[in-house]
Amino acid sequence: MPIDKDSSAASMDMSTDVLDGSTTMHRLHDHPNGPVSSSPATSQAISNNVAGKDPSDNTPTGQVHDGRAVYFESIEERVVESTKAYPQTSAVSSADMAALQCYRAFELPSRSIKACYIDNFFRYCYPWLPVVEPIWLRETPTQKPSILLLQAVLLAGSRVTTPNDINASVELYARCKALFFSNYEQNPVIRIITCLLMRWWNPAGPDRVCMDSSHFWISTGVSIAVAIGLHEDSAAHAKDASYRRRLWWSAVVSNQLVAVTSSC
Amino acid sequence: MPLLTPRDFTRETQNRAASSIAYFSISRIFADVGKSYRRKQMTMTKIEQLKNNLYTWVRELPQELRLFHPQIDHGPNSYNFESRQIHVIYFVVLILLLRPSTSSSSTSAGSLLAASFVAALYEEFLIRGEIDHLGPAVHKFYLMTAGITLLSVRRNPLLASEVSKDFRVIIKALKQFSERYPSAMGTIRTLEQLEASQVQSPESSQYLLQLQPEARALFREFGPELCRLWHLLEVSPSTHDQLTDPDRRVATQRMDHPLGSSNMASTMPLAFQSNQGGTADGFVCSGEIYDPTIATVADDLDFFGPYSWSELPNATAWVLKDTPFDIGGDHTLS
Repeated sequence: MPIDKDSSAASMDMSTDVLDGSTTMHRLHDHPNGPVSSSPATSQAISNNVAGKDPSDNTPTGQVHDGRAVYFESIEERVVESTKAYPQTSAVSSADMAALQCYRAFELPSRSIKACYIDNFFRYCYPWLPVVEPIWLRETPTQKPSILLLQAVLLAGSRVTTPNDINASVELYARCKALFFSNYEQNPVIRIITCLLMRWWNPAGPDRVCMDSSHFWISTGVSIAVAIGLHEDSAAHAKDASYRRRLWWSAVVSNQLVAVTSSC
Repeated sequence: MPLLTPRDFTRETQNRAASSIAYFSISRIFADVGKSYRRKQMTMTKIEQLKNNLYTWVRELPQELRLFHPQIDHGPNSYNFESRQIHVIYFVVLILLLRPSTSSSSTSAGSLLAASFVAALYEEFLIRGEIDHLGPAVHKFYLMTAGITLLSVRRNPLLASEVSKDFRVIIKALKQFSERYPSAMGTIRTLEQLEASQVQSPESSQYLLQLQPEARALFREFGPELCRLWHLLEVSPSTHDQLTDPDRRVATQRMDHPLGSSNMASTMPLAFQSNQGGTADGFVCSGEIYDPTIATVADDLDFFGPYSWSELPNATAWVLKDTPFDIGGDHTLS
């Protein structure tokens, strides 16, 4: 769905992105191929931050600031204009889209299997990774859940479901990986959550170097978290402070556990 | 970044907040232990600090997450899957903290007792079909740590029977775990190799170091119903003589009172006592276990180890430290 420039321009205030979707997604740059395309799912994720409503009702798309708009804050003002210094090359290429179709990245299991995996995720995975709100996975007339987030939750849920359907998990992992590296999902918070959820895949132990291991994914997630300033607990992020704390500590603890037990 | 509190959870997930917070706390303690050992930064002061943190953690657990009823003689609490998973981490930390401080061919009674508790918890997971529902694959590390400790005294004739049962539980849990996480097969192979190496081990490896008074406090919240080796806490002097290395034997301070007795406080070493006040036991009980400034980005990201294949350290090296299976390296604490 094309983004209305006029309406999005009014929301391009990085200090108050209440009505914005992902701040990285909605920046319109002079890109050789035109405006940065956004995934249909996240572009429909309109913030529901109506006064009095539980902030958790917001999808993570509207909750975290990208605080890295400038190189040197002392030289240039931290405004959205500074993000246009050079084109942002994060569009999904036609080749990536073809690959995603090949991986069936947008397909979901049957309703009953999907419900089972999600239920098991919240029953067995959530206490150790309290970073996904149930409402973010629900489809409403105004909002579709992020396909990357949904596939990652299904992957984690599949890993704690009996009987063990390893083929289903293999397919879900492949979809998550393809979606992640295609930049289809550009919201950094969802990408961090996905990295943490990939812990439940972990095909190799510390005796092997593996690019699909939990260590690889958690390291990637922590890198993104630091890049968006998740480790900072400043007044500018007071609105989202609780969720930021949960996400940061989940990343930290996951990283430390994997580091200690995997010798990496 | 401030620590998590229940207020950081939403209405819909508020009932899971306690488990998450307890899990994060004990995981941080575990990570602190592992990091200190791996960087050769574990000191006696650090060990005492970690023991104090552990004691605070287990004493401040919410009622629904405790393993045993507050009145220990009432036995275990109702089965709670999440509670047992976080207690696995607690006992694994005990295994690591209570082992000998210097290289020794003996095993610590406290470590062995904690390993037996780990086996008991996994036995419960097995019988309830919950191995498949466990958290991420880090559980193979917990099983390996407990298995190594149990193996170290398997040749002790007074302990062989119970230890063997516990060890079989560890292997069974690993085998079932490996059906979902094949990397656990590497852990099974490691334990089997260690078991085979025991045939050539000297007889002194079967001895136990006595349980120190301050270590007993760390088992205070538990009772005898779960653990096969609970009797190690109540060993008689004659049995003690048979269990311990005759060259390292010291006078045993016989426990004439149950663990819940206030007499415990008088045996608490100064390292466990706080000048800031606290409970009648002299422990500092507060919600803040960690100094928030510890949680710095540099500190956490420092876990990114070397990327060269030749530099990848042996995963089990620091776990084997100060066990009868440790065959090299600097064993002394700084």
